[in-house]
Amino acid sequence: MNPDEIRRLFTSALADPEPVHRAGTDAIVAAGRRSVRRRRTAIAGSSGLAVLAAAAMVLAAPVVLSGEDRPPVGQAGPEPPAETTEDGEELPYEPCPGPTEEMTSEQLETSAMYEAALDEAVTEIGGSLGALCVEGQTDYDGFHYDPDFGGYRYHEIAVFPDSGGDADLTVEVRDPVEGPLEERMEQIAECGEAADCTWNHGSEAGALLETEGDRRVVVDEDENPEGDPIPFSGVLLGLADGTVVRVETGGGEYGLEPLEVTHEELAGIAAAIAGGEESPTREHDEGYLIPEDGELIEAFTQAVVATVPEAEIAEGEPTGFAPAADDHYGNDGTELAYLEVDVGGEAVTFFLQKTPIEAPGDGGATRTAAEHYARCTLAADCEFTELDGSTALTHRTYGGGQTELTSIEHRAADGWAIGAGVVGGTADPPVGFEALDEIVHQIR
Amino acid sequence: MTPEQEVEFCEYVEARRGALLRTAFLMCGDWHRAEDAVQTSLVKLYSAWTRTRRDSAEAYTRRIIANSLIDESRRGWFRRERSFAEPPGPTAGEHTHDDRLTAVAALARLPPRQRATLVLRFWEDLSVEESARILRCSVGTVKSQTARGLQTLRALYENADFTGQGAPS
Repeated sequence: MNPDEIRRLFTSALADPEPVHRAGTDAIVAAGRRSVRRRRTAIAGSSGLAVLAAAAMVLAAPVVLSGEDRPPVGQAGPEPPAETTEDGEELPYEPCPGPTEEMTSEQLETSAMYEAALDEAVTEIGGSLGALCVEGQTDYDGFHYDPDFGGYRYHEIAVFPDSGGDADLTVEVRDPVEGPLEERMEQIAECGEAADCTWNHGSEAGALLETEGDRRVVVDEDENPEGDPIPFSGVLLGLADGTVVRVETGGGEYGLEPLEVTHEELAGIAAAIAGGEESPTREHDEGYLIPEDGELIEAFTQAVVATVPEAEIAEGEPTGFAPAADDHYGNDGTELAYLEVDVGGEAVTFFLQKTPIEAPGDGGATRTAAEHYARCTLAADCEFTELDGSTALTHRTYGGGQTELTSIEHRAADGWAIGAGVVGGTADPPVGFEALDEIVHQIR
Repeated sequence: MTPEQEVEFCEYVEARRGALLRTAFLMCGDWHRAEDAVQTSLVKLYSAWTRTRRDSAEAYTRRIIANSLIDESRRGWFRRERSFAEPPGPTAGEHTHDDRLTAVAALARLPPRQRATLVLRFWEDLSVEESARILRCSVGTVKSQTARGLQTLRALYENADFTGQGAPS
């Protein structure tokens, strides 16, 4: 059989009409956002304060339904197992489950902390993590604690876009054990057997052992039961408390061009993980001029009272900011604070949303940028007004059982979008966009 | 991700999704599994989009599709979960009902890695090196898998009766 015959065979196999896609592009984008948000939430969750704040918001946030199928707004906490979008569209399945059921909260936080440090360190050398969970040692997407192994493990693919290459990346953080540290490290590395080992005495982070060699990887037992020799290089970093951090990368492009990650770079990754507890959280990337939460909420409360004189604010209001659990408010970093108010005998919820703009200045205050950050594709209606070259105002309306109105000021130069919204009353809120615009204006 | 990057991503998905789906189907023989693999690859691509060169996005998605389908079949999951296709509908062009059944049945007999190798080499027209990069194996393995796949198909066409075997593998 020759190549042309093979191509005809393929064409014949595809002769049936293709099925209709079960998930549209929007559903894929939504799932991508969820994936990114989950990773960021895990990273942010490595801060004890962030965890406490999120837990507090579960109790404090009001449940407001502005559409029959819409989930409660402001509910923080674990990502819901969303199988469909708001439109009922099926979301893509994810083959790499998170290890949430098998670790303690402390282990989860530590895993997230290690992953944040690893992500940062790999990014610094031009890589990108999490392309694919790897069959074999772990079934998880990310770090997980393995009590039988005696430490945290990570095994995924790192992608290096500039070179177009990728690499198997294995990271281990082994618990301290009794006995000589360097001897243990040599045993872990299988020095003299599977690896050539060299001690690097110039490391300030701890005892550093550099390794390299070949591992035989069996890809197809029938075709090649002995496997192919796959080059690897790695480091083991022994810390003063006996913890051993191992970072090893195997050639992703087997037999082609071995990916060159130097021992120095690997040592940098190991040191970053070892010092992960001191890594800053990355909930909001540096450079965003987000006002202090307390100031913002205070200004919001005063603006509501000033703009809606008949408003009576319930005791204990307002709440603090919490991550938006629903995509319809804004992007991954969107947070909301709520204010329960009685307006002429009707229970009304005002909310303040703040959305960091990932690339301040990018796109200016154009309609495309403003409507993107306001999630206008999900709204029943959006009205755009350009205020000046870097500021725009968007009036966003969601329908459903209760109408939800939001006036969002998109401040491209500052790097954030802020919105004042209202939902409540019998069907339509007792205040409109004019009042919301005034509230936003006063906050500014 | 900026608005412009997200628009670019959506355009990429719209433009390439159909072709990726056909490639995935040829690798596994089941439209549902093919779509799952494509969706998974695109969701992962979304996460990496801001750091992925546009010209490497295609290889990135193909790599995820190929390896996830191969891994699934090796784990036996696919064998348990696969759904047998409906009887084929109207055929297109010059291809007859029997042609399609025969083609699907023949491909179903190939081991997953051989099948993926043939799809990359002769459907996607990728070089040996590019195929090796996607399948994460050596150039030599791609060559041997190609030869064995062609040999297997040749033998099947010469000797086998495919009647009633138009099931995905």
